[in-house]
Amino acid sequence: MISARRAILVSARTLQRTKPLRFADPKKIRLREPIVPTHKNFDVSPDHPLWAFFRDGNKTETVLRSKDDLSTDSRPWDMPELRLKSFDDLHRLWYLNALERNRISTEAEVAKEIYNGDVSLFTKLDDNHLMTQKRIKQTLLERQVAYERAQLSSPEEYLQLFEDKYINADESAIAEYNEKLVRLQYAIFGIEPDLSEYNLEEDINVKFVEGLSYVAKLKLGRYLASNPGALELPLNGVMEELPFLVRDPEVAVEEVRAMREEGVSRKLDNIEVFAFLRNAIEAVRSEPEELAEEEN
Amino acid sequence: MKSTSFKCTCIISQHSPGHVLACTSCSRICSLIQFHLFQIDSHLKFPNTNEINQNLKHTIPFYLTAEQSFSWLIQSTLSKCHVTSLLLFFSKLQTSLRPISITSTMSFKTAAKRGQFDLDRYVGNLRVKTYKEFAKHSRLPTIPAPIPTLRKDERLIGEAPIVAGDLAYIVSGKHKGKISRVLLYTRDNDTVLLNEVTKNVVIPKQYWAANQTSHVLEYPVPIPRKFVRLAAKEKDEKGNVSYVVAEDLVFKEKYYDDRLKRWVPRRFVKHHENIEIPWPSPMSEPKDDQYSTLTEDVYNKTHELQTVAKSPFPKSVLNELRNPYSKFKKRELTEGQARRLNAPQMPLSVEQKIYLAKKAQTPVKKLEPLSEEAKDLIGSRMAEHLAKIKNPLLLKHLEAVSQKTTPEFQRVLNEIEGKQD
Repeated sequence: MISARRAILVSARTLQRTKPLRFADPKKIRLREPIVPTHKNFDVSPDHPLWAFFRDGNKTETVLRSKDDLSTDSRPWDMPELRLKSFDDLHRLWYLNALERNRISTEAEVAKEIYNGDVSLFTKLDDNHLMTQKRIKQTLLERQVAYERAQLSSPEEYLQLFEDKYINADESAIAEYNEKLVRLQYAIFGIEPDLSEYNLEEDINVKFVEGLSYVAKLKLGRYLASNPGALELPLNGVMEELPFLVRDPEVAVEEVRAMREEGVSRKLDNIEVFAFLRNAIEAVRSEPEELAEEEN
Repeated sequence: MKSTSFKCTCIISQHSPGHVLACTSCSRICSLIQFHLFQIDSHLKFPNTNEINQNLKHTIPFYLTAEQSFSWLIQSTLSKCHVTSLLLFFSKLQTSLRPISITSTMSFKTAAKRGQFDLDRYVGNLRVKTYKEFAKHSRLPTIPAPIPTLRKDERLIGEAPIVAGDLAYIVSGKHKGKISRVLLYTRDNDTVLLNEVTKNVVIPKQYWAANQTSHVLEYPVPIPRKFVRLAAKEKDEKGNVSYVVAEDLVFKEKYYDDRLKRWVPRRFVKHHENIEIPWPSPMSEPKDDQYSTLTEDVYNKTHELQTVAKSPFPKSVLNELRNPYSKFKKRELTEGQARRLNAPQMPLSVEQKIYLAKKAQTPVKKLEPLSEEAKDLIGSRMAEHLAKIKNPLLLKHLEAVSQKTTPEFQRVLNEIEGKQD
């Protein structure tokens, strides 16, 4: 920031007059009526975003509430209450608290003049909001710690148990087991139930590949139990596994066979896997649109 | 001079006209600088500063940021001499060219603590005296004197043994033996206000409360907690009322109290732990107002854990929760920290230096295995000595002793043989 004195000097130099000054007759000069300093003399746009920092928006008459209006018996949000809320809700709540703290701070600034420096009432209110904010952070941290611990535990035993049950399930129970599988693949491998919900950048990861081979093993295992010798094992990497995730086992087996006959099936290098999956899933997603276009 | 000519329009509180709350165009809140500008017309001139000072009586306070007010001043049709006189004027106003509040960059809570009188700096009787001196200014002389607050480390921690709504038995003083309802327990000075221990005080009309009708008001007198005991009412089958007074209490396992909406421990009379004194219901229910959150909104569950494969929130949030730049997570110690961990080396005196120099000159004593000659000599001497001994018990004792080896002896032997421990 340019210093005040320098600003005046610099501007004075630029404003230097070439002609000598002539002043009006001092007797004719009349002082104007003083302008009363009130907010009514200023025009402020009613949809100015800073109105959000006032309790009643652009209808605000005064920033300072009367002491009776302060909710002194209020309390901060509890941890058990915050634990019920989703990340989006907590995020929103955080900013509501921040906004309210800003309003209280403005109020306290005025109250300091009026209540002779005593802002203890506002301090108590502010403490409540601060405590809520701290608890929101703590709630999120709890979730993160639980998530990190879950990474350490291995679900292999459970997966093996489920595999046995799935392969040997009755025809009547298989619908229920398929529903269970959809939940399981989301719970353990993060594979979304619907193709359209994939975030291709983030969701295609090592876990996804693990889940893919598990699902393929399960579905193919069950298919081979009823149709022995339908397909030669083992499957050749993600290229042959993906059909089992996105299609019915019968169709998938046909597709794999066709791939093998054409000789396009090969085991991908690790570096190719994610790119292949992204492209393939993108292609599968756009299939229904293409079909619709063809029909038209 | 219309308001539209200003770059910066401000909202001014009705309560305190001297206070800027928000500047709506430069997006600064409470960080504006207050100027007392005088009214300037294009054809008005000030030949000398005295005249300016006279004109100051007609000053109108305007609220602009420093840059804006100066640019506005310069842009207005001012002549050179105007500017010169303005400079003089501003140099006179140096003291009033200050921010509205120094607290602009500081939270109001921090600002409230700054430069305040701190009672915790006083101890003992001085603390009491100072407290009373200060309390004089904040109450009417007729109102009972408050009891000094305790130092933070002396205050009661944990669950309060007596709360508002309890019955209290007074054990000392004028009201000894009285049982009365507790109106308030204050942790700061460890006192209770009782329903029936009051003093009639005269209140001037300007301090009357909203529904007050008389000059005389019953005002509760604070009593230190050490002068009261927790009491409980008991009713037997016949309807006879008796009281239990607890000299001391014990807290036991916690339970969720639906009236208090929190977990509280059960309290029992000490040494009579079959007698439980339940917590009283709160004296007043919290009222809902426009700021309250609805119960169904609070208990509406929007989070459910469905996968362990995905992070519970976006990656960038984690740095907000676990500060990666925390000073406690630095792998290297700063120079100051290292200095604090290592004790300084004491300087040596002249005598110590001489002693150490001498010691360095003398060769280090080296242990050598005993020569055969020496072993023979020792053996012959010992045989001589043993031959003199007649007492068989002593011989037996010596035999047993010779079998024992002390760790020190073993260490020396190892050193001689060049073995490592």
